[in-house]
Amino acid sequence: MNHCGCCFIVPTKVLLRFARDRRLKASQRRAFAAAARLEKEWRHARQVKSRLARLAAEVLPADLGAAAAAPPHVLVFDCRHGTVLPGAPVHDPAASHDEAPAHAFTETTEVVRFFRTVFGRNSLDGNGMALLSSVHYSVQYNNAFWNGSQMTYGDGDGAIFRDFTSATDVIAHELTHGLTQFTAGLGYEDEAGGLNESISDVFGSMFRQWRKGQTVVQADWLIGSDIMGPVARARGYECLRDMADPAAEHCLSPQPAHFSRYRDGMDPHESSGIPNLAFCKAALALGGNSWSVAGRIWFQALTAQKPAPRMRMKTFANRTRAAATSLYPAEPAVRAAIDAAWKAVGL
Amino acid sequence: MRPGRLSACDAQGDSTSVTHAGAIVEVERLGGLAGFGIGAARISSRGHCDTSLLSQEERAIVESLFRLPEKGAAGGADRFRIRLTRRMGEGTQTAVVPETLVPARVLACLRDELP
Repeated sequence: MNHCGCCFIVPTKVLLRFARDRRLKASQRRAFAAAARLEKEWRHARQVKSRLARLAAEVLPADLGAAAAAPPHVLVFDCRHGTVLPGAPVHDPAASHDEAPAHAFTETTEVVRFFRTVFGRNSLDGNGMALLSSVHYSVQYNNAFWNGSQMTYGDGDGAIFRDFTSATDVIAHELTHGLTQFTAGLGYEDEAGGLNESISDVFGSMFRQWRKGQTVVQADWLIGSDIMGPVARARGYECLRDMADPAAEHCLSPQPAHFSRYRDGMDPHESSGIPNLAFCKAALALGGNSWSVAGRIWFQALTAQKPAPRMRMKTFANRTRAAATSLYPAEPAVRAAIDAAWKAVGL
Repeated sequence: MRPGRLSACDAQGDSTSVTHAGAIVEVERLGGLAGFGIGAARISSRGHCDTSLLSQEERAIVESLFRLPEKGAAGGADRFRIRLTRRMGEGTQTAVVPETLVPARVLACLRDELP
């Protein structure tokens, strides 16, 4: 699909308005019309699939309900350096010679397997929701994001950042924003925003460790180290963030490491350092693999209660303390490790 | 316009050449996965835009951005926000808006940088 180069991520009604705009070339109008059709059909199909899965779980026997809630479809689209989402569908992305769609497909599929096998979660919504990723977004775009319904990845500029699909933790980070949206429903401001970002870093790092088969001691606890480009590395920057040492010099964005330094209005990518450090400390104290005990506790705290868009960090900390007790009633050392980790960051 | 300068954009530090007083908007990218321009972040993205060189429609969009509420929700997570600043008489006027609302030619002014 060709794009005019001046487009943004736009609602369907605006796409349709562009499709009717006689001042645009015929090829551009056709492209906008196709994007609008795809957007509408895609949203409809996904809503129907989610409703069916929920209904099947309610009315069918357990074995049939499980069959109805099949693993989610993983779809990849190519923006071809435009900014209209989702872009053109990539057929058989796993076999693509282009690394970006191949990485997006493979690692999204692995994240699905991670959530299902480790935490018993069927996709982000728990009902097998299809997962859509768009690659090659914009030109030399130094970012990846979750837009509320899909993942989007830029190519990086090749200097500061490499292709954003080349990092397993980045892909899991973006997908986890979807998980958070469908569970605790955390907002994106103040303490809830910091928690939201931290949850994505926690599960992003955990997934990277799971893919590498690493223990908590073997893990480097860095976020985004695989997307750092040659210019960034030459200047001593090894990662976006360091969960084990949020204020470290080798971070592109050093963070506060104690709640006493938290202020309302902080960007979520800044305040997330506090709960990030708590998770890292808890996981290191518990030993083994981060996903087997600490990960289960964080997952339970995120998913087991009603949405809380304005949740405070203290509340989440207390949820993990309660989860440690309920999941490991015969192991008081687990609860003690969680408690000590939060206290170390002032919570 | 200076010879060889054909766009509305300039990376930071080149704005002194612009002759249209009051038409310069400072542009800064904030947030995103990497946390551009926040707190102690080393990474930043800045530029200057000469709005007198934009189309009438683009100028109208930029003007409307300064009238939006301060906290415009971008939706989702890790999206960029754009801070626009312009001189107004003795003071300045600032708007922070979702990247998706900003015309592409204004965004083209931005240059991602490390110290």
